This record gives sequence, C-alpha cells and structure tokens, in this order.
Amino acid sequence: MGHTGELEVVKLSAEAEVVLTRCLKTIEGRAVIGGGSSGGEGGGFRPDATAWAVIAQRASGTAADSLYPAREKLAKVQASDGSVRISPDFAGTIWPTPLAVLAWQGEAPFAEAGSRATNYLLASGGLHRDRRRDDAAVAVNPRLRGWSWVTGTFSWVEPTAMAMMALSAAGHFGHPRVREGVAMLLDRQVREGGWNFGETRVYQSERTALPETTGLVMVALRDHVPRETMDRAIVYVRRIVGRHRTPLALGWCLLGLAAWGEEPEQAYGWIAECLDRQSSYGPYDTTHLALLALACMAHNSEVGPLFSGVRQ
Amino acid sequence: MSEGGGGVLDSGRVGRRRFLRGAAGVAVGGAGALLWRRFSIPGWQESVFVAKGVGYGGDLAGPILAGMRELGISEGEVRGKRILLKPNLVDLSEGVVHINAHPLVVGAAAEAFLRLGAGEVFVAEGTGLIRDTPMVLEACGLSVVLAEDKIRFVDLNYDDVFSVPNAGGWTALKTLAFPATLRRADWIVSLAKLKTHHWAGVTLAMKNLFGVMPGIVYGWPKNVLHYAGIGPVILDINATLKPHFAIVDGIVGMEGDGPINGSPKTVGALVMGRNLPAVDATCARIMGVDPRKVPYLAEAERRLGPIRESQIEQRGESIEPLRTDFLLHDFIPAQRGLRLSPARG
Repeated sequence: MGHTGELEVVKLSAEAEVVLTRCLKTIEGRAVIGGGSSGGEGGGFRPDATAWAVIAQRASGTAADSLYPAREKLAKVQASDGSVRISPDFAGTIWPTPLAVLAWQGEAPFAEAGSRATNYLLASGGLHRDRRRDDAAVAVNPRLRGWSWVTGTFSWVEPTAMAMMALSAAGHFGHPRVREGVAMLLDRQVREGGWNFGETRVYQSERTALPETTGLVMVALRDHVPRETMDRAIVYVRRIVGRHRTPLALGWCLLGLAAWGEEPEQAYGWIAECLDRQSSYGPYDTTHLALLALACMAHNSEVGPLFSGVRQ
Repeated sequence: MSEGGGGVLDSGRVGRRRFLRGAAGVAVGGAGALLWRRFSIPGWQESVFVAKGVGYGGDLAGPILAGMRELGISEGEVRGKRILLKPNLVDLSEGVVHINAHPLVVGAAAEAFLRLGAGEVFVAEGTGLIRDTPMVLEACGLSVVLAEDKIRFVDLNYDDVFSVPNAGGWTALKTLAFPATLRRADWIVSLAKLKTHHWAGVTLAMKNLFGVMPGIVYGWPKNVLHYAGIGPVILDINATLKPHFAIVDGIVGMEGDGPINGSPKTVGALVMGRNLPAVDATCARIMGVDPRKVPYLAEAERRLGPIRESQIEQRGESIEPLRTDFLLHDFIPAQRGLRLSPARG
C-alpha cells in the first residue's frame, strides 16, 4: 500500500489528447513573470494555482527544467514554519501547503522545502474539542482531527483529503496523523454514501453528498481503506457523474472513479462539454483546468501515481 | 492581494471612502462614541418598498422597477453605473424554489437596472459550502438566465483579493478581505431570500453578504467568520462594504431549519430598499419574527440603520396583511423566542 513515487507511463487516446491539450494550453498561458501561475487571465501569482499547474504539467510529461521556476517560486513564498499560504497578507491561509508538497514531490532541489512542508502538516491540524457537547448541533466526532482551510478553525473534508494525499505521497502513508485523517473522513461520510464539505447532520437534518468532495475523498482514501468501504461512494458517483459538466464536480468524480478502477466511456466528451461552458461562465480558474487535465489522464492510469507520474 | 482603493469603495452616495477611512480609524482606535452619537440620532428614517401578489410566472421586472422608482431611484442615479447583483446561492436545488434566490428574480433585477440605464449589470457570488459555483448555477437554473440575458458572472471565491480595515469593529478581525471585483462595481445589490436560519435566526439582505467573502481567504465553509461570530461578522461586513440596495425574494421563502433544510413558505412578496437593516426588519415582520429579538438586527440599529416600525416608512403594501408566521424551531437556539407578538396561528 502507499504510493511509490515511481514514474508511470500513461498512454492517451486521440480524443483525450485533444481535450488535454485544450486544458494545458490555457494553463501554460497563466504563467506569470517571476515564476508560477495566476488563477485567471491577467491575474497575479497564486500558490494554489501554481501548484496545480505543476502537478498537471508534470503528469503530462513536461520536463522538470521547465517547471523549475514555478517550483522555485513556491519555495520562495514558503513561510518560516514550512507552510505555504495563499498570500503573506493572510497568515492563516495555509491550505495550499499540501498542494505545494505534491508539486515539489520527487524533485531533489526542493526536497528540503517539501520536508519542511510535510513537517508543518504533521504538526498542524484543525481546532477541536476533546469531546462532543451534549447540545452539539453538528453530528460529527470532534475528537478526530483532520486539517483546516485556515489556522484556528475546524477540520473540514477537503483540506484533510488534500493533506492526506500529500503526506502519503511524501512517504508518511502510515503516520498516525494520516490514520487519524482516514478516521475523520470516514466519520464525515453521509448516509447516501458520499461526502460534502464535512457535515453529516445539523440539528435534525441529514446533509447530502456533493460530487466534488466525494470524488476527492475517493482519491484520498485509495489504498487506505478496503474497496467495500468505498462501495456506497462509488455507487453514488456512478449515479451522478453523467449529470455534471462543471469542472470541480466532473473532474473529481472522474478522478475518484479512476482511483477505484472505473472509467466512464463518455468521460472525454463530458470534459470537452465542460470546457465549452467557459463561453457561459468565463475562463475557468487554473486550478479547475488542472483538475480537468488530470481527469483526462486518469483514465489510462492509476490516480495516485498520476500525481508523480509522467505521460509518453 | 494588496490593500488599495478604487471602484466601489471610492464611490457611493455620501463619501463612502471617507466614511470607510473614518470608521476604520474608530474601530481600530476604539473611540466609537462619535459614530455612535451620529448614527443613533433619533428620527433616522428609511423607506422600504413591499410588492405583494407576485409570482415567478408573472412580470417581475415591473414590480422591481416600480419599487425602485417609489424609493426615489432615478435614471440619473443609475445611468452608466456598473451594478453588481449578489444573489443568495447556497445549495444544489434542482426543481425547488425555496433555497436560492430565484433565477427569474435575478434576471428581473438585472432588467430593471438596465431599464434605468445601468451601464452594466453582472452577477457575482462566492458560495459558502460548495466550491463548484457553476454547478450551483446550473442546478438552480440561474445559468440559463445568465446565458439568455447575456449577464456576466464572477466567482468571488477565486477573485483577486484586497483587504481594508474592518469598519465595524464588532469582531476582533482588524481587516476584512474582499474580492477585487467589488472595487469595480458602482453599486452592490444584495439579492437575498426570505429564510429562517439555524445559526443566525433569519437570513436576509444583510446575512446574504457573507457570500461576497472570498473562500480562498476564509475557507469553505467560511469558518474563520464563524469563529469570529456570525452575527458580529454580518455587522462588520455591512459596515465596511456599505451596500447600496437590497431586493429580497419573498415569493417563496423558507421556514424551519434554514438556510438549506427548511420547508417552502409562500408569501408572494418582493421587499426592497436602500437601507439593509430596514429591509431586513420589514422582512422579519412579514415572517412573524421580531427584528429586535434577532441579535444582529438589534445591534444594527445602533449604527447601520433603523429597525423600528416608527422609523421605517413602508411603501407599496403594508406588512400586516402579508404577515405569514414562519415556522421557528424550539430545538434551534438561534430561533427561540424570536416570534413577533402576538403570534399568528
């Protein structure tokens, strides 16, 4: 179990290549002077967008030399505590840290930066109580600590899943904090089998699952739990994936299914339709395009190694 | 992501930027008495317009336009302006009309502003629980309205960000981060939904502005703001942003365990006005909620706007015939004891 970090060869169909190229061209155009990427057209450097761009470009076979400036930029903005923040103006916004770990993964010049970031993640986490209050409105186990979006707040599903992916890729697959993250995510699974941002019930109302968080957790829990634990989530995503043509929902659903060996035949067509909808919604954020690019490549590869893989 | 001015924080009806600077100084310096005296002057009057008998199948732009004119909003005031409509979008709601601000109300509001000569009307939102904002637009049907009416949409969660001093001072947050798009708007319009809320009691025009706060700074959910205190943060956001107008979709609202899991409640009303506390107080009374018992509305009266009936001139329809008591749950602490007396059966 766990990711080896070895390079995987991913062969894509012609249809997938066309869709992937659309994503990658836009991502390349988001590069900013001084290294890194912006989130949108004409924007400034954003660490999360930079890390996602690196992850997608590396998976598509871009040479390490070409990605060096972006990785270096991430290292330059790394805080002294090892975290990577959305901006130095907002000190608590540490949620890009696991993305930076994934972007640096396997690159010797950035081993120290990656190590400092993983140490930060291992030492940090959401703000929690020791026990659930009797009158608590939210039905989750407060003892299980994952990771938060911003320091000093509660643990939520998405930052926890991303931190687990980063730590697993960096060789901390069996670390107690990662195991606690697994338990926390399983505690947040909703009745219909998937996940939302991190609530199962508030007062007397059951919360429902969301496509993007369910797909993300399916990726994060790959290799950490047996397949039967994922069965209900897989059924949920199979049922809803065909309805969605928006980037996070579709991208994470496809990656989630791929993580458990499933590949919808229509996936590339769906991704193409999703990209077409930029005519209505405007250009997608770089992070969303990177996710769609990874979803293109996920169908011919295992998702986990994709984050450290290479295409031929 | 630097501090700066321009756009919405420069514009506004009474030197909003100067006000912002002054208020921020007060908040940071802890000398709020000057503002307190200024805004607690008895006799502060605001007007709120209520349209009744409105349905999603009928003309919606007409009542909105009538309300705006009744409230003294003229072509001269709107002509050439960039109008940002901020709808309340909180969840996937295919086939239901009581969760999000209805897309047809959003489209009608855009039409009304354009008919008054607005230079551009665009829609912007930073959803709090779901990061895939286009998915929410598609689920609730707003994507169709935006496409048909050629209305631009901005996802505020991923926008560039600037920060300004917190002009409210109700929380310990020294600064608030806002999306850069807000600086490029001349008017910010809160396009809210008439709903009860399990943390805040009610969610109306003021609470709706939670949705402008960028997820990349505050998270999904915007947990930093929850920890700071939902009610106080609502006040801080409104005091700092100083929105220009509010339209509340009360055609079908939500009662009970809002803002997502409650039940539909038909009222058939649109409520609008320039002053958000006054609009929200009117909405609360229509819902059978005493605004003075909603902590953040009671506090808003001190500095942001009147909530007493005697200080709100009701235009259009009066409240009493429209009042429809929304279900309030005893098991939800934020909803306990909010009922306006005498209660209706």
